[in-house]
Amino acid sequence: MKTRSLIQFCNIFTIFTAFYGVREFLGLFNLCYKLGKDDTNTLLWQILVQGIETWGIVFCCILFFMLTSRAKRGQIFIAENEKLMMILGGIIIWFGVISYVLIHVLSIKNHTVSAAFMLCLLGMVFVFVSFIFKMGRQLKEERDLTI
Amino acid sequence: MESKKYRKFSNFISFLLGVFAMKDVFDFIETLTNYNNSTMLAKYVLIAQGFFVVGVVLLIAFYFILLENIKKRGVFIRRNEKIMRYFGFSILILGTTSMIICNYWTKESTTSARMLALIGGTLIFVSYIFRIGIEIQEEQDLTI
Repeated sequence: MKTRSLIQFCNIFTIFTAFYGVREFLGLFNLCYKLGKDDTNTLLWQILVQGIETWGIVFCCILFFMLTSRAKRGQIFIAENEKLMMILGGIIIWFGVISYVLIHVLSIKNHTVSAAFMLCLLGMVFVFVSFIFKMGRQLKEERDLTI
Repeated sequence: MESKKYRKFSNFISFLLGVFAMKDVFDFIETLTNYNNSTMLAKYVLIAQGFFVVGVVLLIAFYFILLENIKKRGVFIRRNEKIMRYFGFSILILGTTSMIICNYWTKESTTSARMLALIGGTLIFVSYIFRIGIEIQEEQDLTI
């Protein structure tokens, strides 16, 4: 199987995601610094929403890191990967929903609903991939039985 | 094959995407029609928003094409792999460009552009998984 290109891509993308996560954390630290000067409720909610979105990206990074480490061992279509994708995808969807509700209810100015919606979509893509993993696993089991 | 569940979920995602994209496209059109500000900042915001909207529209187009392919031809086929790779790369590039413009020329939040880029990257990752799945299926067909 040609897993080399998959591993290479996963490695690059893990670094890419980690970079995004670091950027988000820097933004969060910046907001925390501002909170020291201005402790209004709006800023506090803004930090909460930013924190939720940052954790969404961190979970994405963890997911890609774990998938890469398993792909290196030749484990791709396995039940563990499927479960991992389903669980982390579900968590990311919930993060998106919570931040969407917070932005709507508290009408936070500096955050757009698009980011929360995209977080939901990212989670859904992971759940979608977990279904593909399930189908691939079944195909592999069928092949092993045929052989 | 449990492709029924997969189809239902894909349909749900494309419906959500459709709703979201319509809102985003209308927002963009509204900004474009109300545009009478000639400052560079407003121009950059508009450009970044444009890249983001094109990315979301491509995402919808991708889901519709993929669903049609799954209904007519099957899941693990070369065509799906290619579609995923091309659309994934386009979405990744559009998301990254929008993020760079937002980061360096405007002070707008870049989280949504980052998410779009992440979705693009995930699609490329899925295309690699598809390639392995296709190889398994071809091997199985040859064995039978």
